[in-house]
Amino acid sequence: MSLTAADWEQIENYADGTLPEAAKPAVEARLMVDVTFQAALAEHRSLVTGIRAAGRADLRQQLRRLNDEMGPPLVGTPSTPATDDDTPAQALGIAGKPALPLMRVSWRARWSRIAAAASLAAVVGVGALLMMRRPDSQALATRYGLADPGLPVLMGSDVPPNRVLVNQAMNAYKMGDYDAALDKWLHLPAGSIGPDTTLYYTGIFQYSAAQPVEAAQALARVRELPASAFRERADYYFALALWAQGRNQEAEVVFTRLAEQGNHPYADAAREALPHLSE
Amino acid sequence: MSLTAADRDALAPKGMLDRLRAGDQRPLHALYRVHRDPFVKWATIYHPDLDTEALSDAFQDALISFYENVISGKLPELRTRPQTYLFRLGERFCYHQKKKRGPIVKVFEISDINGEDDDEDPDSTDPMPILLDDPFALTDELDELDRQRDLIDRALHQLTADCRRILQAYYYADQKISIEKLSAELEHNSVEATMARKSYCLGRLRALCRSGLTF
Repeated sequence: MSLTAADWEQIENYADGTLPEAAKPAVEARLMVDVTFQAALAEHRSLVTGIRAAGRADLRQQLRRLNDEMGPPLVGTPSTPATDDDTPAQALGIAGKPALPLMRVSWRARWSRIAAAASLAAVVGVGALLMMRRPDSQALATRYGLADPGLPVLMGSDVPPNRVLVNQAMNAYKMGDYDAALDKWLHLPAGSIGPDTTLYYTGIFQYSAAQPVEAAQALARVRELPASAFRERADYYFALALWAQGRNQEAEVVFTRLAEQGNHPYADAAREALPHLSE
Repeated sequence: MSLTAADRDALAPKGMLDRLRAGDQRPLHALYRVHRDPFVKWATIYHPDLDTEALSDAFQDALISFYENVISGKLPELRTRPQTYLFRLGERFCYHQKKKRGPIVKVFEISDINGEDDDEDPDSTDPMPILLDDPFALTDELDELDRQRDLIDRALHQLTADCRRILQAYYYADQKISIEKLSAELEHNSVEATMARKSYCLGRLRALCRSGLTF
């Protein structure tokens, strides 16, 4: 049996929620027994789903056009692929920036570059003083950082060879010599220690050595490892590393998420830090 | 990036949601222009395995979801800054991007998936990643769904521009506000006239879809 225009109108109104309450029981009763009516309702819903999908696709097209007009996003360069010969830190892509190639440069060119660099530094310095309230990571660590105790240092003559450098790095860290700790840590022989431990303490040492950008990169990767025992600690230090870069808005997102997790061991610390982000 | 005067107007917090509900999509464009690069830079740290194109796509997904939450009434008000909302949403869509690029991308802890609903978080709307035990189990159904949507999309483009606008305004954007605005724009005598036109357009769409591959 084919449906009339009035039937279709009823179906549309019923599906769209615009049918008067008084008319609903009759429509629902017919839907119970009339297969054609049921099929029509399904067809209508399918059409509406398709119209919505098309609306979404149109919006997507608009955003893609806008994206093309804007050009590629301005972000940092990706890290280079790892090789089998890399140290653990290199293999994990956290070994720091490669040295710049040496070039022969004339004195005239050098002086002109030095002058340009000095001007730029002056402008950037004044701009930074005027515009940015970027706390240094040491200040943040003192105020909000729950100092990571580091790994226990094994004592005695039976320390395995692969732990010697780990011990030295940890001792340097506990003495407050963060640069030395980081230097030793980044030169650990492959397999000395688990990859998440390597990553986590790389982040902690970098953060302590006032390298928040690099620290955030290492800690972000620990956060991606669901089975890591360091994951929750990495959450908190990641937020601190963002804050130390002056990326308060992003730090706020992470701190908020931690603060909302009642069982997160750093929830209280995150709640304490949050109000100070806008200082 | 520097804001144009039009961007500043579009992004004015007061009334932004109302403007979106009324079918004005300029705030979305302004949000995208202003926040795409900061989002990509931020998300690169979280998701170094995704390239900038995938991260831009994730941010587009976030904007579309934000818009749909607004116009559907799921998001009656913003309790946080728009950029914070978008960053949170965008981060979730990064996992969708990973799913698109490989069969298994992330192992979620059960507590992440099976935890209680977070009533305090107004932003915890839908887009948590869906995990399938067998990623290929629904392939046939999804293919059929894609085929249907493709058919409807092609049928929509066979309609007149006015018909298409009415149907999309009614069914994609907020029904009541958009249709009233549209009725005025199309110089119809009344909203009822626009609604009658909507029924006619829907009938045309149905007929075109039924004719299947003939168009």
